[in-house]
Amino acid sequence: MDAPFVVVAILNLAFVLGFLINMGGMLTWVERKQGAVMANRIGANRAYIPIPLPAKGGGIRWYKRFTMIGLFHALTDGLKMLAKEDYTPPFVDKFVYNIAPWFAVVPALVTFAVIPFGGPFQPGIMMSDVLGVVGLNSAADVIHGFFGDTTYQLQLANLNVGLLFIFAAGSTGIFATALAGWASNNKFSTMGALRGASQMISYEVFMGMSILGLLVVYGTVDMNLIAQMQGDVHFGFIPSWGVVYQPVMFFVFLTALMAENKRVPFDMPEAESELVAGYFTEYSAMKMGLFMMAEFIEIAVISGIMVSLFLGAYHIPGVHAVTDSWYWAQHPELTAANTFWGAEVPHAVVIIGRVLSFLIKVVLFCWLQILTRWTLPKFRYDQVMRLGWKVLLPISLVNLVITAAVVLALN
Amino acid sequence: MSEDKFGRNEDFPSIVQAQLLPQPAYQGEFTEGSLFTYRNPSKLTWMERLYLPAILSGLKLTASVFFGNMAQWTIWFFKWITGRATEADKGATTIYYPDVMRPDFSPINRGKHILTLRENDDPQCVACYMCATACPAFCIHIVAGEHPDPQIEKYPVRFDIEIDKCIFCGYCEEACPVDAIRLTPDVHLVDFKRERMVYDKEFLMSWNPTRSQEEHVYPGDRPRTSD
Repeated sequence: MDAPFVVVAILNLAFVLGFLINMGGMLTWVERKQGAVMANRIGANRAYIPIPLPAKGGGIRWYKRFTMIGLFHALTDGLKMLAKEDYTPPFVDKFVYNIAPWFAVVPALVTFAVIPFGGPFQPGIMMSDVLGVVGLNSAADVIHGFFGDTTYQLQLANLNVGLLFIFAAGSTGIFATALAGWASNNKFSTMGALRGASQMISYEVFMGMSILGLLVVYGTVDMNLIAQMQGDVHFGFIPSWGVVYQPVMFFVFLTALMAENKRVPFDMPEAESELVAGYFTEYSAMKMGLFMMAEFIEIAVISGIMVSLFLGAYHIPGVHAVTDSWYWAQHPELTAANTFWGAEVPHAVVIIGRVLSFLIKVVLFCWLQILTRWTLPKFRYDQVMRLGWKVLLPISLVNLVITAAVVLALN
Repeated sequence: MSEDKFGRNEDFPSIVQAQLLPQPAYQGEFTEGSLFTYRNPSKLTWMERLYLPAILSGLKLTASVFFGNMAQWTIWFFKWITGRATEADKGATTIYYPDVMRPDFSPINRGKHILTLRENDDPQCVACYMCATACPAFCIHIVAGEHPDPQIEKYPVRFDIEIDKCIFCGYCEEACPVDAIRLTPDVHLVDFKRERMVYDKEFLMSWNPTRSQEEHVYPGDRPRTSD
């Protein structure tokens, strides 16, 4: 393992962790503010950082209007969670009770490891492009010399079983619900855990079923390759994104992922109106905060999965990098270059544009999920099960048969 | 929705049947069998049981509200940086009560009492007990004393109103023969201490609605002088 690889890995790690944890905080604000705008309200805007200003008659006047349209509410939430009393009830199973929140947060964080957020890139050329514009040519040479012309991935772990890893990590999240509810030794918690386990395992089934059609189309579970295969354009204007191949499964898979996240309208395990707080009723302070944080991080992770499977990952239609090995292999008549609708552009422009495009897509998807959360009332338990087993599973199976037949016919 | 030749909805046969029943002679009259019964169709259609199309139409509605409000907020923002924004430009119907008083808050609303003053800053009150007699909540307590001026005869040594008992009926205002007690529109009469909810003579005489609540010295916070 050489030094440049380690540097790229550390930078990737910093980006992914920083992105996810900040999204977790930001989304609490987005959730409040978007819900307010959808309901003709103003929303959270009272938390402020006091700024001392000189008063008229000498002394200090505290300026209390620095509220940043309510962004500090996320900060005060975190502060509150950390400062509160962390009470462990005497009747719980201590070991399992304490370890359960980590089963919620860790899978949410590690799932993002296999999601490619910028595709293959050449850090040496990219950095020398950027530094050359600012005029730091000597620094550009040093960095180019360090990285060379080698291609690295803007992806934390380039696993060839990426999609399976997502399913594996995602289903580990069930342990959090089940263990937390069981260890709490409380009727509400146990009820929530039972509901959560059955709901998540049920939706796990057709989550896998619904994605099989896409696997038949792509023929791989390597997330990096799946992302690269969405970089082509059919007939000159249709991007070869997953949603074009599998439009129905787009909605089915999104529904399954949202049910996995157990937020409204699928918040059976929590069900404030019935079960107090469901499986984390007995949790307080930051342990409860970890469950909440996991939910909000999972919104961003779900968006990342949806974007990289169905919405062309980081791709902007018609923009290609010299490092897109799959694309240039498909088009042997073209010479590999960094192109933007045919025009040649620096490598840095394409890569930065791709990362931005990925982030914008993810943010739009987070918006869609929060829109759904504020639109729909909670499903009844039997409705959740009926929707899963009687509607979504048959649709996935029919779709799989049709897709397989079409792919077989085309080959 | 299918309609018959009278424009009635045939999807709801119970409504059609109800309209065939004898109609009331005038609005509000109750006759036997004239009540409408609304029944939902007993079964959802196949499309409705899929949920997803219905959910998408719901999302369309809420998203349209969201984007409408966001457009209005954007216009508000550009007006705000030029300093021309008004409350009506905001993409929300929120009023920052009680920071901002609602425009439909009546100026003749009955709220906190004040004691009016003579020109020499003595209370106008002549301690006739008419307000205390008229008070249905028994929350006015007066102790009368002899006034040095024989024309006035009496003055209140103590004049206490238990504001937490008051029902703001305004009878004391009506009963007063010398216009000594009035009710102001102010209704923000909340406190953490019960002692501060008994307003004494000095407090009722010194009340100024333009001052903030912190600037007033409440009776529970200072030693009594009027005993």
